[in-house]
Amino acid sequence: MFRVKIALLSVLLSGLVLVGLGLYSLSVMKKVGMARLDREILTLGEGHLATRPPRDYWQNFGTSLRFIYGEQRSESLIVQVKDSWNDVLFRSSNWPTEITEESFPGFDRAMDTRPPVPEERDERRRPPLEAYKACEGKSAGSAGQFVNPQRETVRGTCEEEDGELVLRPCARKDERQRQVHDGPLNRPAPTPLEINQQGWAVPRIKKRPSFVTIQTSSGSWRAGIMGSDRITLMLGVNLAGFYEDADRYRRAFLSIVPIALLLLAGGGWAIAQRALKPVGVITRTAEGITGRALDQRVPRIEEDSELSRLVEVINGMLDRLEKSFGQAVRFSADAAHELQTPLTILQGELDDAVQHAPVGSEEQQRYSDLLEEVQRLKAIVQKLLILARADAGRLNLSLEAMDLSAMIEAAAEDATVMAPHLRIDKQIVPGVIIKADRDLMGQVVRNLTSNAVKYNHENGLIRFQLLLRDNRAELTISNTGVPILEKDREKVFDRFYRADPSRSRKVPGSGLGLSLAREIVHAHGGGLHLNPIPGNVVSFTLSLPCSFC
Amino acid sequence: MPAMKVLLTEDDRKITSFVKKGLKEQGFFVDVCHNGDDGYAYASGQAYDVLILDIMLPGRDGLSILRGLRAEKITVPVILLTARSAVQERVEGLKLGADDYVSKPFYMEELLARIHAVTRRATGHQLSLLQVGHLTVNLITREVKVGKEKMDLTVREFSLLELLMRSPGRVFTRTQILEHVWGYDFDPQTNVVDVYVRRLRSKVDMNPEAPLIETVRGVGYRVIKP
Repeated sequence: MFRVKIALLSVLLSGLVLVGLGLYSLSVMKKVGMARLDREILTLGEGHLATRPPRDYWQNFGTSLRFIYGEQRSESLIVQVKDSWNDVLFRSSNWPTEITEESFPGFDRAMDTRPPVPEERDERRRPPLEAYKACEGKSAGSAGQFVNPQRETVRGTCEEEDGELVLRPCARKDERQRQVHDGPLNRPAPTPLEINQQGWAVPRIKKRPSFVTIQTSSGSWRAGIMGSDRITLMLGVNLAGFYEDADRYRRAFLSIVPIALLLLAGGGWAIAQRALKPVGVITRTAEGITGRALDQRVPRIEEDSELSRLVEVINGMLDRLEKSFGQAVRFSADAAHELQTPLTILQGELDDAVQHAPVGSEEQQRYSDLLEEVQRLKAIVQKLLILARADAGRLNLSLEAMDLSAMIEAAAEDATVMAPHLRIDKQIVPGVIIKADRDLMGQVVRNLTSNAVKYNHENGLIRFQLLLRDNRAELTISNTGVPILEKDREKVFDRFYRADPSRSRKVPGSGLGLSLAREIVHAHGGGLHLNPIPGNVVSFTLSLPCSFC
Repeated sequence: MPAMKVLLTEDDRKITSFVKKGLKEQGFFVDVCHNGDDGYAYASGQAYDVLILDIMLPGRDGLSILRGLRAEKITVPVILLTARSAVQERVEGLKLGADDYVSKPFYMEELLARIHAVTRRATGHQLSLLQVGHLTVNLITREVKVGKEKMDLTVREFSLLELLMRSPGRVFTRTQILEHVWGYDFDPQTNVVDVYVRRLRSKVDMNPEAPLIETVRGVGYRVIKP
């Protein structure tokens, strides 16, 4: 599951990155491509704006285009040239009608594209007041002079204009070179010509050429517009080739992405597999570790420091566990030996004393009472030792064939004697022979029986039922009594658990019986359960593998 | 029957003291060793009728002595004394050729019963009939007769009668009877032993003038020694 998650995660992450990068680079490529086209258009256009070709140049423009770009390329290139009075100087034959100047909202239409007029023309129209004063009292044709506002001395001749004499200054050196246009009257006044730093008038190139992509019936075009004071130039490049390139790139990208994702998924899986390998080893080792095989250790992992640290920690933990387990087992073995010798002596000497005391004497009774206490001590020690051994996974069984039916019959018989007020109901299949430790199994049956007697109602019922089912011997001992609550169902098998604290004082017991019984049954490969029966019935079922059935 | 010779090898002197006493009372000759090396020397040097061998011993341990003896083809019956929880040792001992075992803590009477059993087995002498007065108990067929009349006894009743009949004259306390017939951890609340003895008496001991099963007041019961 972890491996699948890692693989999916790596695919998701790298897929996102890949797709994002791909889309980004597609858009960048598109932008770059567009920018390249725009630059191409601009280069072509500005070349023509900057120069001042003769008027008939445009008539042969188509031919020269074909000559420069070749037949093929020039078909995807469209050009339209207009002069400043909007007369078409040149238009490519395949110019789509959809492309007009209005298609370029970014283009500065407010700017005048008409040729400029020298500012001197204004001066001539409205001569300064000083020009009139300089000719006061003079006749037409006489020379005069005045100082203009720029503190220059202007010399000239007085001429008659609108019935008044005015000084007309002599023409400047460069004045002759300036063109004077006189357009139709309905046109607005042209703006002045730009003079560069050297004092030369240069054609004005529109500062912001404008580019748009236009969808027409003859395909998509990237078109640009630019203009100078003389001409307005519109150029277009067919985008079919460009789109073809972009398409090819996209197709390549789309076919590569799934392959890359598959590779990444496989890689993620492989990485997870490799990363999990030590975890698998650790798991297998941990599974193999039981009370009997505590000496197992997780093999060292050299490559990865994080995991080798984990292995170290686990092994360290196992060391401590083994040590304390060993101590517990040794303790129980030692305790068994240490306690059994004094108990043997006590019991032997007391028994001897009972035998030799005068029969029925007070002395004999006292020895007998002491012997009873020794017996109690023996029972407790024995139970604790069995539990300690069961905990260490070393509950040794001395297995022998035994008649379980006879054992249950005897238990039922005991119940009738122990509690004559109870009704005993038995249903025992005869001759059920099992392989078991007679002492320990007897302990289990005695425990269940004495519980059924102890926790019964007045005039209650005990039912013993032994039957064979699926090659297993099944013993069910049920009794009427206070039902065990659902929440306590599993707790009854806990050590030192007593179901009802208020009754514990009245009914003696150590609270070890059922937990010990379950340990013993488990060691025999069987099971002991509290049956979920409603009503005032407590019912335990003991199920054992039956090797002789 | 000539007196039997028993070798008791056990390191704890207090245990050997009461065991020796108990055995002597039954008419056995008893030699005692307190370590494994002496035990092995005695056992291989003299002819005993039965060996009682503790497993945990200073010097050679009980299992090693047993192995040595069996290797020398000494087939004397051996009874091992073991801790109750030492199942592994017990099983190994029986594999090595021990005839029986007794778990510590044990009652003298139990040890005696085992000694009788293994010596009978060794001599081929069958003693499956216990008889006291007009009462006979067949241990093999589990048949109980009062005079000529056959009596039906329950499982527990038979075990109780067998225990008492094996050692006539011996006093059994109630807890001792409980341990033998039911198990060491049996805690019956009511006095089951008294109930069973009453039942048993009603079946096999119907003459109140000369009772077979005697009540030892405040202690327990015994079968009158004939």
